[in-house]
Amino acid sequence: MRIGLAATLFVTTQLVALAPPVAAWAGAQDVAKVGHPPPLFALPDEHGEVHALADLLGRPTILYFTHNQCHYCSQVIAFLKRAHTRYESTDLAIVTLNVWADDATFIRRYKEAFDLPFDMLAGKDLGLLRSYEVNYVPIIVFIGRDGLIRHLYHHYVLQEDFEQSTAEIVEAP
Amino acid sequence: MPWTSHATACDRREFIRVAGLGTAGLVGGGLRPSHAAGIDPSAYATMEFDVSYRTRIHTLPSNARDLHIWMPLPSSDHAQTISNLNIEGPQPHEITTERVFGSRMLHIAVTRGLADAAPFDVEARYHVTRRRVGARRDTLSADDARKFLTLTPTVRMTAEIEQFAERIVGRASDPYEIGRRVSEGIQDLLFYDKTIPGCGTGDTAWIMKHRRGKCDDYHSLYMAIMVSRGVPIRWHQGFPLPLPEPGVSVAGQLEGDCTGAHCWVSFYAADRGWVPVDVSEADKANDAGTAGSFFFGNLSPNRFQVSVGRAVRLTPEQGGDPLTSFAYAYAESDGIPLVYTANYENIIQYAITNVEMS
Repeated sequence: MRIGLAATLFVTTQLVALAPPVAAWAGAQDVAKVGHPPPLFALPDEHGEVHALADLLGRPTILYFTHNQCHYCSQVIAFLKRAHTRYESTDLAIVTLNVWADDATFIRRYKEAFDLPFDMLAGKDLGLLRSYEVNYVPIIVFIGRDGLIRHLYHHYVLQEDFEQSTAEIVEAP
Repeated sequence: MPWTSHATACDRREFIRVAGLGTAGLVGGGLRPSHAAGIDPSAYATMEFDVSYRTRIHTLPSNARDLHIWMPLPSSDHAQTISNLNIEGPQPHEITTERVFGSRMLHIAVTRGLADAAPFDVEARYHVTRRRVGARRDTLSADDARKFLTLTPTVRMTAEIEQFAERIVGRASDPYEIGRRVSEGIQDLLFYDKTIPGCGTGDTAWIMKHRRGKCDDYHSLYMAIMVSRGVPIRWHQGFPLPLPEPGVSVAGQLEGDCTGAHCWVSFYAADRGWVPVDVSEADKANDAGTAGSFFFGNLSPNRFQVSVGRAVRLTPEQGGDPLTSFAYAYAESDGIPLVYTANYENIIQYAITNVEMS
């Protein structure tokens, strides 16, 4: 998920400053919708390294929005971890976004609390919140290899639906 | 609906079961659906109950340098009397007051011995006598009014909300009439979605678009429109309780994250004072065929208030962002919020000891 040449300066800036995340918007559309490309973003992880969603397009991807005070989100993390293990040998990408986080330590501590094996990005960004219509968390977005949103779950997701949605995006050609 | 969700097709208890949590003692947000059982909330005059509000610190971040916990503490006022307050925990505490609206809170700071501090519990126990209340005459200075005319980044007006407000308020200029029209308009607009277990921000643009939500959403939209019409409004944050039959003992546990709380508002009209409104309860009552109109100007006693206001800055001020509202104990280490369930947990239990009808 490393970003390309065009964003190199952006990475450097973030590494130096670790300032509140400044999302880079590709402006695919106003809000996330099933059957459409996801709104693009580029946000830093706990090392200040910027990750761009655009670089994941073409891979099955799960986006997971959460924050620090969400009991149900911790249950969905269990689903994500199982998917991570089950599809380890595939190109499935799991990206978590903490919508309260604007700081490397913030993310590091969240990842430590749940022993997250996948990326978490600093998602405290008004543009991100509005483009994914984050009012309630969790929000789980399933993106297919075709770069289109296949499923979009607000509030919570049943394990069965989560597993079916994951299988669908991973197993689809 | 503009997004694909299975939320309406599944039941939250089913989600909890599938997620392996079990169901004992869980209560969803908003007041209990007593209306469905044919119980008339307006018939309840007072309720008394004991509350145990406990915060359990499970673990701390490996490199934590300090720990701060803020727990809301209810205050006595015309609607409720708080007695027998008892606080227990291994760490020293102080009781502080929020600067804008005066909400009380318990503050605990731990700066030494952090490596061995967790796990530990902090518990506040108290007795609540809660009364059925109506409008309360009061004066409001221009200075004080200002703080009740302030919106937040999420509780905001948009062009769509303004258009809706123009349609439902019309030419009304009397605050009481504006309040009534907005309450009824929002009930017509929104669907009370009890399947939402998550944690909301009360984003009025989202609410207006999706036209569903819980108490936080109903009252955020109500607040935005009332402020846009120049009517001072106060946000009340608390917890819901069931309405038991007289003589029946009821005890239970409220969810301790951001889903088990309840909120309501009151607006100021010079000729009536503070007028309480519970728009989401009114909507639920109407849907159940009981008199939702009771909840415009009146509140049933099956609730208790723990704080006032939104976008809450605690005392001493937290390192993180202002809290959307302050129902749950909040904890930080080094200015960074702890992670709910992993680092800490809130356990709120109640036992109703007396009910009086009228």
